[in-house]
This record gives sequence, C-alpha cells and structure tokens, in this order.
Amino acid sequence: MQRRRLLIASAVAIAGIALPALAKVAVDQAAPNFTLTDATGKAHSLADFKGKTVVLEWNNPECPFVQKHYTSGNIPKQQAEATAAGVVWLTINSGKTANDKNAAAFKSQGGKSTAYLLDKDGAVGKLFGATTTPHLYVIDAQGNLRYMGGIDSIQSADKEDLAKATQYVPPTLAALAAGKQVTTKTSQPYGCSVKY
Amino acid sequence: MELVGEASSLKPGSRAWLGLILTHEPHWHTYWINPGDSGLPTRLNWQVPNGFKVGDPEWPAPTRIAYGDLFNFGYENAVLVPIPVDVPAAATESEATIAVDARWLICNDVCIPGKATLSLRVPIAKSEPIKNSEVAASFSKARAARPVTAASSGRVVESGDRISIELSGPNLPQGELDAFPSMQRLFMNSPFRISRTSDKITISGQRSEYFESAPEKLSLVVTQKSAVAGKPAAWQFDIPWASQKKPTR
Repeated sequence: MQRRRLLIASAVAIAGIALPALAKVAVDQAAPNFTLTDATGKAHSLADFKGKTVVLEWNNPECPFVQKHYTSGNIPKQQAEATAAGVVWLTINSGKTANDKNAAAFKSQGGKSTAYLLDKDGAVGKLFGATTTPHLYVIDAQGNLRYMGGIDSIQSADKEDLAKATQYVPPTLAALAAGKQVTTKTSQPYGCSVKY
Repeated sequence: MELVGEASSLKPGSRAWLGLILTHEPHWHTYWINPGDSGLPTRLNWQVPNGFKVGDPEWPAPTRIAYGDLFNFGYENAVLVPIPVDVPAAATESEATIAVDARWLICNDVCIPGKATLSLRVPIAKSEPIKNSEVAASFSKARAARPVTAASSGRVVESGDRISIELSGPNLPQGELDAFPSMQRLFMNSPFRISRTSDKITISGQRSEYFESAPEKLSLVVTQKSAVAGKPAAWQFDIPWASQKKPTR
C-alpha cells in the first residue's frame, strides 16, 4: 500500500484534485506527509517535524464531544504537557468547520497546541481517514504512525466520564519517550463526524 | 423521547411491553447500537420495583445515513422501540412506577447530546390487560420492522483486507439489500458489496483499520430497501466466525 500512499500524498499538494473515499493509514506504517496552513497563513508540513514525536488531533470547537474535553481541561492539559516535553501537537480542523472563527474558538476554549491547522477541502482529513472530532494520531520521530483512534476509552459527551476513562495519548507518548512498546495501538474513535 | 405502555395495566406473572418513542425533526437522527463512523448509541438505565425485570430493547433495523464518505447507522422520523418487562407473579402493589434514564445524541449537521428521565406509572391488575389504542399502530409498525431471526447457515471468510459473509439456506433475503454489523471495529462502514447466486448471498466489506479481533459470532442485521407488505424487511443473522490466520499487512 506504500505506492498508493505516495501517489495520494503528492496529489494532496496539488489543489483541486478530488480524493476518493477515505484513504487508510495503518499503525506501524509510515504516516503520509502533508502541508496545511494555520489561521495566520503560515504553512506547516509533517515532514518539517521529522525527528520529533507528533500528535495530530482532529478538532471542531462546535462539537459537544470536543467541548467535553476542552471545558474540562483534559485535552489542553495533554497539549501543554506534550509540548513542554518537546512533542509537536498539531490540531487540525477539516472541512466546513475549518475557519478563522473556529481557530479563535479553539484558543478561547484553552487550546495549547503547536499550531491550529485549517484543512478546508478536507484532503488531509481524508488522507488519514479522520472520521470524528476528536480523532487522535501519534507519529513517532521516524515518521511512523504508532497510535490512532479515540482520545480515551469511554465513548460519551459527559465530563463525568473523564474520571473513569483511560486516556490514550499520554501513555503512548510516555512509551515512545522510553523506547518501550506502545500497548494500545488503536481504539474506537468517537465524536461528531468531521464535516467534510 | 417518550415512554409508553402497550397496555393499560400490568398482569402479575406475565410479560408486558413498553415502548420508547423517538421522534426526530426532519434531517435529524439518533443512532443504532452500532452508530457507524461517528455518533453515540442511545443508552438506557432502568429503575423498576423489586422483582420486575426489563429485557433487551428490540431495536428496529437501522437506516444508513450518509454524510459524504462517512456513514452512520440510526433512526429518523418517528420510531418506537419495544421493551419487554417481566412482571413478578408475586406483585401485590396496586401500581408500579418504571423509570428510565435515557442518554442519546441527536445530530443533523451539528450534534446535541440529550438526556431525560422518563417514567411511567401503570396499574397492576390480575385482569387481562387492555391494549392502549393510541399506541397500537406504532407497536404493530415496530414489530413489522423488527429483524426476523434468520435460520440460514453462514460463514465469514477473511481474505487480507476484505471480509466476506456467505449466507445460504432457505428463505434468504430478497431484493436490494443493505447490511449492518452490530459491533464496531470489524468493518469499514461504507456500503457492502452484496451479490447473490440462486442459493447463496455474499456480503463483502473492507476490514476496519480499528479491527482488533474477530468475535465468536458476527451479529448482522440485513435490510431490504423496498419492503413488501406482509413480508419481512429485516433479518438478524448470527454467523459463526472461525478465527483465521492474522492477516499480514
């Protein structure tokens, strides 16, 4: 499947090419490169961060599941801790909700990522097969995908469930930092659908 | 959301039926037990008097709701979910209060989590319960839409990224079909490729990228797109899934 990913990755760089149904990435395989701009117009490419662990977080501040994780501080805390440890955290908004208003709402909801990227045509979301907000991916320093799926173990929009839920990103980052095996490689993503 | 009783009283030592009525504004939907690519199934927590037992809801067959390349499985418009309640033979009170804490997610372009506590107070009487006429038609419609347990034999065949379900036997579903696995993390949610020969139906789909392990049995609801009055429009298959060699990527 490597050659198809390369073709898709280069297609993404050319505007206006309509992608077919959601592509598939896989854990323990190379993550495809992409370039997206933030609300200030600055471009960020995944390839820029080779040598660092990268978290991709699909986001939409209008979604009640995202709000659960932001008003509680759950995701902002993970963002702050990760970035303090040298991890790059890219929050991505794909499709109809990728706009300046939501970039601002992300900040006011307490977002503390390295960058907030706008994927207006949804190409990068489809490249990764992102289906929900939130939807999380962790890529290691060699560029391989090491985790993908939900933010945590309890599929709900209720803050009360955070106390009992198992978070998936911090243990993945800890395992990568210690050179250990990632124990949970995938989990069911849950949330609102990405508004392609 | 509304909780109703099929009959106006509960008879000790018998099974009674409640109905959970979900009503959706146009373009809004709630979700089936497997919601598909996003969303949340409706969750019910019951409070009943001592000795009463609430059984599994008879979720009607879901509808496929497409949002571009994403697919959800759920309900639109008005739907009644029949729920069985076993009334203890020793019930001596004159009435029972049955309550449910319901949590759901209702979406169109946006999603709104909802919750409500619904309760019903129903008299307990030894006489034969009389059906409530206002809900009779809704209960009939729900039962007609209930997947019939299909007595066909089937098997699941894994071939790399593709997983095929072969169904054979008498009374196979007819017409233009759709299929819904009751569990997540098995298949990608785009529509299955469904083909048939005279005595076999093959339902083929792509393995989910979140696939972890095969269940012992695959529980699948198959629906027919244009129902014929008097004939089933939905079938429930429970197909043994022999664990096969792990696919190499």
